[in-house]
Amino acid sequence: MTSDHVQSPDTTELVRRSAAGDDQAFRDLVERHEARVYRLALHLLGDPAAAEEAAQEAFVRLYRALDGLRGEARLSTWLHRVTVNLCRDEQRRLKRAERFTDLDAAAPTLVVLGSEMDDLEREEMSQRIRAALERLPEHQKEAIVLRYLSELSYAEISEATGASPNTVASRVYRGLRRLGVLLGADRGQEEVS
Amino acid sequence: MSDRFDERLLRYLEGRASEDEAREVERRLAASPALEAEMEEARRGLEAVRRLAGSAEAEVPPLAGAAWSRIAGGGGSRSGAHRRALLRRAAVIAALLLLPASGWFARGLVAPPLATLPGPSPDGVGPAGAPPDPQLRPYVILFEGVWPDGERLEPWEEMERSEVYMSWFEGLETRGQLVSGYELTAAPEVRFRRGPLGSVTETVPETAPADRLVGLIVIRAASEEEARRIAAGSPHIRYGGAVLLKATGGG
Repeated sequence: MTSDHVQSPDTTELVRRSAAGDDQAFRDLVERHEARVYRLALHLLGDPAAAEEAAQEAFVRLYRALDGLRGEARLSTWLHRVTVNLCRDEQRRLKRAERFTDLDAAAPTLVVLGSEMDDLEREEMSQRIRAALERLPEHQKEAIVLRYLSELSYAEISEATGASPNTVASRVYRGLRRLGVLLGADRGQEEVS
Repeated sequence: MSDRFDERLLRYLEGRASEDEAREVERRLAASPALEAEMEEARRGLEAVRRLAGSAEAEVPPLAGAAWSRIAGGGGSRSGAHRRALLRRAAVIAALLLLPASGWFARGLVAPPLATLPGPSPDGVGPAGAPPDPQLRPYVILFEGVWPDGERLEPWEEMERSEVYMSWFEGLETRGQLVSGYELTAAPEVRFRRGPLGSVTETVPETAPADRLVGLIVIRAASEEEARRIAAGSPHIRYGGAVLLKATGGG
């Protein structure tokens, strides 16, 4: 996925038509952006139902904001920002301790990198990495998801999260280190057992 | 470690560092086993997260329909927007077709034509709906109470009501009887009157929510009886609101 540094004329036109009350244009707008919004929410929340809820809400907010969006340089950045904020709200709302207990129960003890794996192993490994991601401090997880899973530039992440690009980079680096430690610890645990 | 140094290490890790920068980082890594160990941790984290990014992507549920239903049921955004769009369109039709015949519209009741909408065809037929019959006379219908989006309704119920309103408006428009329309804000009316010594007094009448004016449309009807029928058939009455019908002096 590449970030649209310059909003395509199509998107601008769809925003304009949606704001003028064209329902089909709004549906087209949603369809164009739904995958990236949903996947971002899914990576941040880790739960398909919660992600769908957040993604829907992001589009409801988009609909309400259409009039003010005509001058917005990049709709995708706006959507990322709204989705991140919605996910933050959702995460605050959830009782995280309970969620973590659940995740830990299903968690992982080993990550095997670089070996041949079948689909089941691959899925299992993805789950383990996701579980480790869940254990990162929120702002580090957010920065890593936006950088590597949503493939935003540091400037775009800065815009979406409100943190400076330097701070974003620092969060990414520290988050990666922590992730490496968590996965390494899991591997160690597996080797012991 | 500072954010800036982290950023430099990250550029190195991601392979974005310049040659000079890479040499400098490597020199520092070689001088510090602790830093080297940290870099190794970050490399492991990066490898894992890239693997995650490369794994099968989650299937995306269709969101357009669901979001749309929420818009319809979420506090009236959709119904409000639809109604406004329709009323705006009606205002444009009026501006394009009826202004020459009705001078008072020109004094500000009707919004200026929107450049985005198509103009009238050369034969004078408007962009939507039937052409107005010159024999029809304008009437004003004022709506009192609340629109469906102002009530506490279940989302499905609000959507259903909104659809009923929409088809009523659209029926009038199709028959060439909807001239113009506006949604009125919740702000109270202000009444101006002549006061003592030639002054003008300004009062805000106290109005119960049920009696608030929330919108108006201008219709054209062949007779007062037809206008009454139209007014009495408004879904606004069915849902607990009231409508006021007033004939205009124009024709």
